[in-house]
Amino acid sequence: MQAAIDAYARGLDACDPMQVGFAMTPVAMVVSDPTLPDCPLIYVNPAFERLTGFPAEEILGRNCRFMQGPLTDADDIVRLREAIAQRVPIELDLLNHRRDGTPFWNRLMVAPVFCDDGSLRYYVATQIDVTVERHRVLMLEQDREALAAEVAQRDADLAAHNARLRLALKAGGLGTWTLDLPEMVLTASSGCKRIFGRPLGEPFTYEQLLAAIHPDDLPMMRAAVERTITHGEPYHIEYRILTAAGDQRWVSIQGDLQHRADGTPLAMTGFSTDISTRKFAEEHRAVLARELTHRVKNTLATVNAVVSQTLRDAVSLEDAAAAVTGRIASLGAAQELLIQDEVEGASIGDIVDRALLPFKDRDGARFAAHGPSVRLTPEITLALAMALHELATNAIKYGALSVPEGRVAIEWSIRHEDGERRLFFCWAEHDGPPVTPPSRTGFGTRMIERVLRRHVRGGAAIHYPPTGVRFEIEAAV
Amino acid sequence: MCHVLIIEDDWFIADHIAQLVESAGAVTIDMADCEEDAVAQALARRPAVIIADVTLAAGTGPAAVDRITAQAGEIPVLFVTGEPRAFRPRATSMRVLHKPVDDRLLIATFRAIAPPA
Repeated sequence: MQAAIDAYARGLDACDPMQVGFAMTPVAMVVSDPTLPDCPLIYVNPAFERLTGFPAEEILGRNCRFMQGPLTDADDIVRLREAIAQRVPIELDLLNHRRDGTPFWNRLMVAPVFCDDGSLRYYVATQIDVTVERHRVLMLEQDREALAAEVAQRDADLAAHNARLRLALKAGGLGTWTLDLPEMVLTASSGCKRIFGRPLGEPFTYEQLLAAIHPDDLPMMRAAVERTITHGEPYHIEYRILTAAGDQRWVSIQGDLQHRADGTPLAMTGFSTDISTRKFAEEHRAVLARELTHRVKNTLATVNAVVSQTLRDAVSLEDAAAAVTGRIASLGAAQELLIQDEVEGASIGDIVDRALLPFKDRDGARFAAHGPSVRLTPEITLALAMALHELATNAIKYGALSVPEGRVAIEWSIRHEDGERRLFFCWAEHDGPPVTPPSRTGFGTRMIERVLRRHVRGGAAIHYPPTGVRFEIEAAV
Repeated sequence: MCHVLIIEDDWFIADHIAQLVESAGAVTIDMADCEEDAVAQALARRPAVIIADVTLAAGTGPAAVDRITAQAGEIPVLFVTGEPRAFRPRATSMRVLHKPVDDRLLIATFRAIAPPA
């Protein structure tokens, strides 16, 4: 063995530039002799000693597997052994250990050397420390993976953000749009098309937008667009549109101007909202306010009429005060009925109950009211309620209700005569003191005869037979 | 003194106005509670003065007045209305009073526009 090592050393020619290069190169190089048992190293260059930390005298004569250690990959060793056994060159990165045990990545090249007769004579091997390179590659791979993960996260965040924005726009009933300048090319979101009643799958052009705007509002809209493009004013406008289906909507549009780097206008972009509900509510409120004002004025005029006429008929101030209070209260009760039954009108039973409420005794036995459920128009409701109030007031003062045994029967019915529905209503006092017709026409009687008669378009009259006052209405309903 | 047409759909107010103008010298009074009825009554008997509400349950007072004067010629008109103060009649000669009206003011206005006896 030592003889083979010495023989090889003696064979080296100090004048051979190849061999000088071998000795001087920073690349670690070794030669082993496969003709000897276990293919020992017979030559290592100084670079190998520096790389591995092994002095030549310690390793010459040994198989170079001493560089393998616990961290060396078993599969790499198998590949290396197979190449050597098959006498083919191999290059691979192998985790080796230095003399002090520290691992390093060894880019190993092993090649067989043959004699002229084709027999295997040597193996020559080079080793380069690629630990730093391998580390750098590893770091780069880790960086790339981290970057990829970050990009994926950002994509996901962006998608989630977009989804939230779309949801918010939809929930808020908002559409978005962009008008490219100066070509005036409109791009509208689905929400925007929905607001304008346009098919979602088709483009919505600027010309179609102009055609959809209510003709009365179009000049104002064009002027606002012009102001925004020319002066950069914020675009905020409300106008009416007519959809293809023919319904009118109110829309609110807000937008702003975007500029190119050179300062020229690039596009107008913004939101659109359907504000029809708010606009119609505003209109409805205005109508209601007007109607309320009207009603209040009419009611005051009615109160004025009641007071004025009551005062004219009054025999004393006390009498006037009581009558006015009672009449205004009865107006109030009738108004309440009207508001409760605004749509279909009040029923006669309700009108009678409400009008007579202030006059009923504890058991209510003095009034007997019978009749079917019949609804009356608002005018007749008020007139009948007031008439009943007057009748009851007079009955208490002078009629049946001025004595304990006196009673009032109130009856009404519907009869069909000549294809017409006719209402018969009767107020009949009985068991009271003998009746004498009044000497002068009071407010109540005048109201009943002049007003109610006109309004029911039939007959309305008060009779004064000695047995009890009778008030009868006959009317088409 | 004269014949008066009252166009008013609130019977209480109509009756009250009727009593006021009666006391102010109206000899005969017709009452109408809608535009159609008002036109029919005025054409049946030409009033010397018209006292009209503006908003009626059916039609309007001003429309009734226009239809009447188109056929019967100009007639003094007094609107007694619950409409907002902004209401202006077609002709400046037409008077407007706002509900609720002071009885004395209504009588005075009626006397001012009624033709002399």
